[in-house]
Amino acid sequence: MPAFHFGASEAPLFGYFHPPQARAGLRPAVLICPPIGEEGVRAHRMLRVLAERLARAGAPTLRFDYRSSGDSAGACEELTLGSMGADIISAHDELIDMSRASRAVWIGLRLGGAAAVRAAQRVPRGPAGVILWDPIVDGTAYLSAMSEAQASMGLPEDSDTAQPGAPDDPAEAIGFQLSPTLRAELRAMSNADLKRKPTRRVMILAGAATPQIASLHEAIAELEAPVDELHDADGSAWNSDDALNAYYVPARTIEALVEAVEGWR
Amino acid sequence: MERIVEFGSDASGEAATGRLVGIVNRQEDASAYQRPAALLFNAGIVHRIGPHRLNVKLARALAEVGVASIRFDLSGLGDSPPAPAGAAYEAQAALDISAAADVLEADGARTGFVAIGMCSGADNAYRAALQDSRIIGLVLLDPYAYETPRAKVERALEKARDIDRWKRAIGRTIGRDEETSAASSLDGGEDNDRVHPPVAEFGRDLEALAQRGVRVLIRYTTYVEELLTDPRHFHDAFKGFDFAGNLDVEVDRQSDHTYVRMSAQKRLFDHIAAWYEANWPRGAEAPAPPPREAGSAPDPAPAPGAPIAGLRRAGVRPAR
Repeated sequence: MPAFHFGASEAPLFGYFHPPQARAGLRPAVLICPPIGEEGVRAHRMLRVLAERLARAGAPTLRFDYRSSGDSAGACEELTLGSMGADIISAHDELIDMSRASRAVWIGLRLGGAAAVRAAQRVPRGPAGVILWDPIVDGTAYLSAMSEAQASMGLPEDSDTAQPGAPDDPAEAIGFQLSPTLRAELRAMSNADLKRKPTRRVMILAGAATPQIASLHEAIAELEAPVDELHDADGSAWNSDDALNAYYVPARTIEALVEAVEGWR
Repeated sequence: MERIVEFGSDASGEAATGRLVGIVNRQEDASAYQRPAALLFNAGIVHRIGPHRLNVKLARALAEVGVASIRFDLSGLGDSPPAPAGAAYEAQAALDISAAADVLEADGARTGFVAIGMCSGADNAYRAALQDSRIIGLVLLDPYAYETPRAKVERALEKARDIDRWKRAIGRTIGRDEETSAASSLDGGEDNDRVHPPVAEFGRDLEALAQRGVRVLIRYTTYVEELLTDPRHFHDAFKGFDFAGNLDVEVDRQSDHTYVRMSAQKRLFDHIAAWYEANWPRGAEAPAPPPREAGSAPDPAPAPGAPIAGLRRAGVRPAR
């Protein structure tokens, strides 16, 4: 069965393994590190399609839910950036064990990218590469963006609602509770967190060339990790309201990711 | 305790395991199925966890009050591949929901099921109940709604009394403000191409279910506020139908369609738990098993924690 639980038996993580369909062993294994919250819901379908395409290209691929997200154990308000990193490392070990692959590439989307590049610094035999797809660079701006997104939804007045918190410190965002720890981690997040070379090679895939992406590129390059940068608005369209209720999958971006993994050295 | 299951049946009714992906949540003791188990599935095209992870939160909240559940992806959604050719989407969804009930029945459920669906999920839930007599309860979140003259008048008066609305209108007129109110969810294409049956057809179906003894909880939100803002409006629309006292309607005007706010989610979960308690009190003698189709006698209930017959269960890999 491709769906399985792993990790601590009292708080298992949900995983879904896509075995390679061709040329097994020639490609690196791939670990997909998803976004959280509303973005995680929106990304599910395209990440499944990405995993299927990678498996067809010969790359054993694991999707999983962080603890306190998706079908994994734990309440939403317990999710932290630290727990995401720990779960990425646990999932990496699981993937290597299941696939018998000698190396793995991590693909981290949005906050999954931020957690992946930080976790990669902590693993002695970590990933052969990390692909950061529209990564969160500025945690405070991310919190504010979530606040603004909820404020723009035109929600009805609710006499039971507690104080929502400051715009850059929301206690909840678009259906998900945000713990004080997670909010503090996000506010403290900066490129200064990147102190050790996270992996042999990094690829940044972003919709636009923003100053934030440029600063992340620079911070990683200073650690002597080669960085490739790719820009395509197609890769960000999945996160729009229009895409939410459509079967939208960014085909061009997925092909680019598969090609990147196929050519990974 | 949660376990991953794969299961399924195709349009011919033949078992075809390994197609649908779901998570069973139940107590690991004899109390697991003393109350009707809940069937949770997709709202729109969101995968089985539901909008804002509502299905996971609800499954775990129900488990705390002794209600087992399965949450799963219908064919072609989430992690479940499309169904084999032959069944239309609605028919396949009903088959999938019955297949999920089969999973819990094979696991020991003997007291019937409650199908809980939101929006298009509500449509799928009631259609499944029409075909599967084991479904003895329905929670329909923003099911079909129909406008009535009284609702129309009351809504117009309400709008006229809304000072903020006038301020917004003036602001728009002089170009200072943008209207940000949620548009009528049922206007144009904003209802995800959800086709509403004629009111008489929906009424007949609900009546047939209620007369069969199915307990129905209907919960509307502001999603339908251009059509209906009070339970009286629902009963106006379905005047002449006899729901035998088995149908409850609530309109939560503080909640949006997908229950974005934590406070709205809590009201929803509390309401469903209270409705369960009113209909199948915790600790009461388990209700009699619902009638089954002829020639399909249930197997003896397995011991709690025993493997689910006919299923490949997900392996739980040990902790490192």
